[in-house]
Amino acid sequence: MLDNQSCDFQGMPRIEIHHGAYIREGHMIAMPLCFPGVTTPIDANDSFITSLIIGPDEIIYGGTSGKHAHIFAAFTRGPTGVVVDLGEYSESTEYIGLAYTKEQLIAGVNGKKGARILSRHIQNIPFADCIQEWKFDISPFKIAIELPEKEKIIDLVSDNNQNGIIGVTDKGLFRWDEETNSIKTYYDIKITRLTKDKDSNIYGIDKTGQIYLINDNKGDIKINLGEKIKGSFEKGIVWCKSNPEDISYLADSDGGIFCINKSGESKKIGQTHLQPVTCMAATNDGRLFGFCGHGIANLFVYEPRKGTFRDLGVAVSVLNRRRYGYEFACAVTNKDGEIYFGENDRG
Amino acid sequence: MGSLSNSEQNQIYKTKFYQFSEYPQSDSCWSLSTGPDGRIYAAVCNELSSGGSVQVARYNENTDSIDYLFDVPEVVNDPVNSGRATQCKIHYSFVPSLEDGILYCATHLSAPPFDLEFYSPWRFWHNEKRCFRGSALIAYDTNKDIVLWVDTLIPKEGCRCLAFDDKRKILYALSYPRDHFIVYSLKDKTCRDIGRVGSINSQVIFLDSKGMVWFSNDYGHLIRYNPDRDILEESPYILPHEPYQTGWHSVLYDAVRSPDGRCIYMITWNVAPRLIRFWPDEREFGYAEDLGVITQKRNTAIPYSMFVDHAGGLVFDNDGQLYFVFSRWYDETEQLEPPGRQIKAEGVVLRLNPITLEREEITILKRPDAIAQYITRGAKDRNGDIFFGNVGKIPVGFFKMQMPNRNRDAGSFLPLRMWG
Repeated sequence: MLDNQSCDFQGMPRIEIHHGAYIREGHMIAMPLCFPGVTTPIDANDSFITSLIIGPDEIIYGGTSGKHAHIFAAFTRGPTGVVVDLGEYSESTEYIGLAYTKEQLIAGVNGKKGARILSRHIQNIPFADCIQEWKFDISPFKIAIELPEKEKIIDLVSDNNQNGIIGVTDKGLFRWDEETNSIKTYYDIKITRLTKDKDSNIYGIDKTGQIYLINDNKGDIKINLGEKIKGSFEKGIVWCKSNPEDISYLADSDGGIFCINKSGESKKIGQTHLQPVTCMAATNDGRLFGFCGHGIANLFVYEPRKGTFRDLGVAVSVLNRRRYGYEFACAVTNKDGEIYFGENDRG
Repeated sequence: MGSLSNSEQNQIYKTKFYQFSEYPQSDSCWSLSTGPDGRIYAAVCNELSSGGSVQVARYNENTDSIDYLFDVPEVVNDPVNSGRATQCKIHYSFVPSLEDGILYCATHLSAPPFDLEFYSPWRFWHNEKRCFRGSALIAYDTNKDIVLWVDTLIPKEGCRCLAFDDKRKILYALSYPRDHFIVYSLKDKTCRDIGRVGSINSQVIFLDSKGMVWFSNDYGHLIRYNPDRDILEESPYILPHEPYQTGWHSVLYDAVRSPDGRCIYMITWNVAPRLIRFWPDEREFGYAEDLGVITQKRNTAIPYSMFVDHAGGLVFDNDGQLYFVFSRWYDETEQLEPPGRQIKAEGVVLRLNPITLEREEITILKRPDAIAQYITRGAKDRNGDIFFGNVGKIPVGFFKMQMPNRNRDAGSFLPLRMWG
C-alpha cells in the first residue's frame, strides 16, 4: 500500500504533495446536522457522532456524544437532504448503539445517571418535500429500561427477529424484550462487540478473539462458538457487514482486518497502514472502506477481487459544505451504495 | 473618505521601511507586537523556502535599525536540516506579560523540510520523518534579553494565533491544521485541548474585560470560551458580510481594543474585508456594529486573493484615533496573485475617528524596492510611533510611521495588546 508514513517524498512536485493529501477517489460531502436554512445544527459541543444505523425507509439514524447526547435522523434520498434532531437526552453524554425493532427505534445511552435503553416509534419520511414544504413527526424518546447503577452499555443490535435487542455492557451480554419490556442477562458471556449481517445473523467477539454466533430463540439466547482469532482484541474493535458477500469484516486494535463467514471462521486479509481503525463499511459492490489513524484519519479501501488495500487520503468536502474530516467513529452503507461516515469531532 | 495628496500626507506622517536585510529569504513579518518594555518586536519569517527558519527581531530606537535577538530553531533545538517541517514563522503569536517583562512567542508551520519542495500538514501528519514537531512556546525575558524557557505548545501542529490572560496566567491558542482551541496554563505548564472549532482558523483571539475569550468559526459566528465554565459557546449571529457572501470565511483577521476598553474594533479575513465594532458586554453574545467594507469595489465574479483584497494592522494611537492599512489595487486583470507576489497595488494607511466614524487616508506605505499592500499587524512603541508588519517581496520587513503627536511619557504605550 502506498502510504504517507514510509514514503520519503523527495523530488515529488508540490502540487502532487498538496493534492495527494486528500481523498483521491470519489467525493465526500459534509452534511451539516441540521435542515440548512431552517434549523440550527446540533450544538457543536454535542456533535460527536458515535453511532449510525440505516433504518426502514433508508432513513439514517445517528447518535451523538458530548456534553449532551442527541439522536438525529438524516434524510438523504429523494427531495430531502436534511438532518433533524430528534431530541437531546440531557442526562446522558454518549450514544453507544442504535437499533430498531418492528415498531421502535431503540438507543443505548450512557451518562451520569447510568445506562438507559430509550425507545420511540420509528421515524416517518417527511410529508411533501424539503424544498418548499415539509412536516416532520417528532415524538419524544421514553426510557424503556434503566440498567443497574454503574453498568455501561458497550454495544447493541436488534435481535434476529426484531422483537428486541441484544446488547453488551461492561458486565456481559443481555437481551431486552420489547413486548414485555424486560431484560434477561447473560453476564457469564463476556462479549465486547456485536454485529449483525445482512441475513440478521448476530456475531460477537470477546477480548481473547473468540467469535460467538448468537441466536435468540423465542427470547432465549443460544450461543455457538466460532473460531478464536489471533489478533489484538482488547479494545478498539470495529465490525461491519458486507452486503453482497456472506461475510463480515472485523478490525482489531492493531489494524488487522479479518473476514468472518457465517460459520464464524475467520481469515486475516490484510493490515491498515495506520492504527487504530475507527470505522468501516462495505459498499454494495463488496469494497470495504474505513478510516484509520489518530488525529487526522486516512480513508482506506480494500478491494476483495484484487485482495489489495490502498490509502485514499484525508477526507475533505468541497461540495456544499467546505470542511476537512479528521475523526470518524461509525459508518453505514445505504441501498444506493453511498457510505455515510459519522464524524466523531466537534462542530 | 477624505484624503490628502501624497506629498502632503508624507510630510505629516513620515514612514520608513526597515528591511530584514540580514535574512534575504525572509518573506513575511506575520507577528509584530509591542513588548512589555514598550519596544517593537517582529518575527522574521521564512514560510516559503525549504528549511526556512524564523528569527525574533526588535526595533532599536537608538540606532534606528533592527536588532536580531535569537534564532528560533536553535533555541528550541529543532534544527532546520532535521527533515521535518521547520520552525519557520511566528504567526500572530507574540503576547506580552507586563508583570515580569516576558514576551511569549509560539511558532507556526508551513515551510517545507530542507529537502522537499512543499509541506502538507495533512499529508505528513503520520509521517514520523516529515511531520512538524509542534508549535514551540518560548518565554523571552525582555529585561535580561534571554530565553528563559521553551516548551511544546501544540504537538504536530502550528499555532495560528495566541492570546494571554495575564490575570489567570493562561495562554490561548488556535492550532493549525486541525483548528483546535488550546488552553495552556503558565502556572503548571500544562496544555489542554478544548476541541475543534472548524476548518479555517480565526486569525486572532481576543479577550474582553471579563476574561472571556473570543474568536470565530468558518461561518462567521463568533465563538466565546468561558474559562469559568470551560466551554465553547457559539454566537447565533453571523458577522457582517457582503450580500453576495454567506458568512463563510468571514473569520476574524485582526482585532484591537478601544483605549477605554469598552469595545473591540475588528477586521474580517475575507475578500471585501469588513470593519466591525464589537461590544462584548452587550446582549447575550455581544453586539457587532457594522462599520462597512474597507476596500474598493471590484468585479465580484473574480475570486480575488485575500493577499490583494486585504486590510489589517489595527492600532490605536495616543490621539484616540484608530489606524490601520488597507490595500488598493489598480489592475483588475492581475489580481490572482502572480508569481513573486508582485501586483499593482499599494498599502494605504487609514485613520478612523471612533466618535464621528470619519475615515481619512493619511499616507501610503512605500518600500524603496516594492509595493507594500499587505500589512499584518500594527503596534505602537514607547515613543508613540506606529509600526506595521509587511508581507511581500523578499526580504520583507516592517514600517515605522512617525506620529505627529509623539508621546515619550512613561507608559504611553499602554494598555498593551494582549493578543497577537
